[in-house]
Amino acid sequence: MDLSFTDEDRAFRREVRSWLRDNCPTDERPHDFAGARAWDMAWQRRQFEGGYGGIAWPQEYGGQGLPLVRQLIWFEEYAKAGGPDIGCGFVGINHGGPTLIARGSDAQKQQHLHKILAGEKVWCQGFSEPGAGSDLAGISTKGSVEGDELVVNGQKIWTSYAHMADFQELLVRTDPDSSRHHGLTWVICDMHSPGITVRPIISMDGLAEFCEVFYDDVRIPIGNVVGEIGDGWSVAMSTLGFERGTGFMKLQTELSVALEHLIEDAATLAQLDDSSVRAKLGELRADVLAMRSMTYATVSSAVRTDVPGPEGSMIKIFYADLAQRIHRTRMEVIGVHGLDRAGRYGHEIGEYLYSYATTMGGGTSEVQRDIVGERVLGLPRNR
Amino acid sequence: MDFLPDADQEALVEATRHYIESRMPLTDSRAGLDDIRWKEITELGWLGLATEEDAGGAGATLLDETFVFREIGRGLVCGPILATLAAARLAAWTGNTALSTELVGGQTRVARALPLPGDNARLLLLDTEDAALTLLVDGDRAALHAIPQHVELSPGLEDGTSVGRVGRVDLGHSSVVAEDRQTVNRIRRVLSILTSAQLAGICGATRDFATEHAKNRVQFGKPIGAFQAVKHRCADMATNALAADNVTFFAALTEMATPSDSDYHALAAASCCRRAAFANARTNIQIHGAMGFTVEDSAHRFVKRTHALCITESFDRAAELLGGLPSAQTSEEA
Repeated sequence: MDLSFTDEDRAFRREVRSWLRDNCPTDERPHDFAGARAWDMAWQRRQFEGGYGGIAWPQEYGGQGLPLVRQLIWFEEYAKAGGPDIGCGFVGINHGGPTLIARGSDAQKQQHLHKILAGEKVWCQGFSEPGAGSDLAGISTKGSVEGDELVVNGQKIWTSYAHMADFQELLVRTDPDSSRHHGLTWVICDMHSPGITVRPIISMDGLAEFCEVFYDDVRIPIGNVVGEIGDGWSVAMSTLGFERGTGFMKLQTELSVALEHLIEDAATLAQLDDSSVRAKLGELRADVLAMRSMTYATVSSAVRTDVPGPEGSMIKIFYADLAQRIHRTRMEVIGVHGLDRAGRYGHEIGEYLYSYATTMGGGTSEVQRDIVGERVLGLPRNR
Repeated sequence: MDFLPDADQEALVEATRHYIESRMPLTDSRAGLDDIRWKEITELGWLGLATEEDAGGAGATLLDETFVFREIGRGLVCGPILATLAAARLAAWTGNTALSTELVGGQTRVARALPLPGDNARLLLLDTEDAALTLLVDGDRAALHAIPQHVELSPGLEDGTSVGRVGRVDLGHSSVVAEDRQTVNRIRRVLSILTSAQLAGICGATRDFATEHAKNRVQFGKPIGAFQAVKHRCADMATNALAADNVTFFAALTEMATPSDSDYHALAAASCCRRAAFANARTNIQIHGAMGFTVEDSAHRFVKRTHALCITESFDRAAELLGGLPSAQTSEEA
């Protein structure tokens, strides 16, 4: 075990720290959909042009091909510099791109990967359906093979940024006689195709990031299928595996920054004289440090084995609960300010409301506990 | 940066666990640290792995000690191991290398003296049997005192242990004293990190016992671990254990890397491990049902040990202290 970073790593840290200081956007992200998309993509493009797009992506696909530790350093410095949320680039960078790297054809890689990294195209995810949430294998959106096309009918939901997206990673049932994990297909859907209707859903924090997507005879070229027809489940799992591995690097640093801001707020509001407030903040600091140490362990494990282990589900459970506790504590600390949505702590109130999503997004904490119980501890299945 | 144990460290863990399971199995609650076993653990180096070699130690690291103490916690090994280790360190750091060598070699055992709340005149002594000295860390002072000739013993919280009550004035001559804040805090951090390691060991042991029981105990026609009400509690125990392990490693590595005199990481490990160990020890009893409430099962012993460890090192205050510190400039960011 070794906590120290190499001289090269430290030099990289200084380099990105100074680049981020000079380049992080300082203007406010626009509130309209088109403006927000343009803003997110402009920031992604600037990172790409600066040489920081896809730090751990292979060089042949426009990435930097650097070790995961550099990605970790980037995320730490990014959060500390107050870098903005990745926004609508999230699915392309974190799901779609990595899946194409793992399972896409050469033509698919050629067409899409560079445009994702360079901030030219926005992706969204079409997995969940009204009848297939935690039970993702319950997907019923149909894809019928007609000649060299796939004709899609059905509905997806909880699709982040569908209203801004150019492409979608879409999971459909191509074998009508199949059930569960069989007979599914993972296909790249052009969101500008005729027959697609997108309806934004406003979430409890007041933002419209989620959408419902309806498909009415949407025709997709067969060449857009990633992997084989009927092999969609295994392609989808390679995406989710990615999400549970390296995604924590960024999340843990954001939590750490959010907590230190909270402690500054508590000092400003003269709450630190109260020993029970100090104790509560101290517990949060302890758990943020535990989160960081678990992230280091999982990054080290990914460096050694290249595959995120099932401990990712434990970190997800821990993270989701901790994030909610930090934001709840913030509401306690700001007191009456918490009633003033447009006031001094308006942004923090929004973050608190958003935190209700952390125990659901990317797999509910209940499903994660099933995974830990069954795959880590070896307890019998409950279904 | 590599945050996973290497092959040598894994071998140390395995050898330590094997020794404890064969020589002090949990099923034999009377297998205390008799003279033979005390000699064995001394030969294994438990009393001074990280003490400097010219002070009788093995010149290894606090992280190595962390791995050993995690196993000590897991196996509920009893006796004055940590107090003797800390006393040797205190002796070494104050220039008493002869005494340090004697302590690491196991010739003298060291009890622990704790101030009693609301009674400034008296102290509670732990592990006084066969101990000639006692370690007292109080305020800005850490010292080794001779133990009075006659200490009346009475039962302690942990079954089979005893405690003694003595007046402060009855403590003998202090052979070693540190009154500078830096040395005293450094001793506190060694005690704290190796106590966190024991709590992390308790987290892992209780996770394993509860999981094993949940796999074997059949009710309503299936193992109770198939029910989410039980399975999810086991999953939370696994999560607690993962957090406790890693935050303790982080604290040990930070203490080794920086002479900064910061308590931040040690306090974080204390706060996190305290809550994790209590949660796991309690859940382990509940999952064992009525059996967990009996003295025949080991479950109660983990609760009692968790109290003993946390009270001895004042871990209930760790979170409050941590919340009042300035934000950490951690080593990896330098």
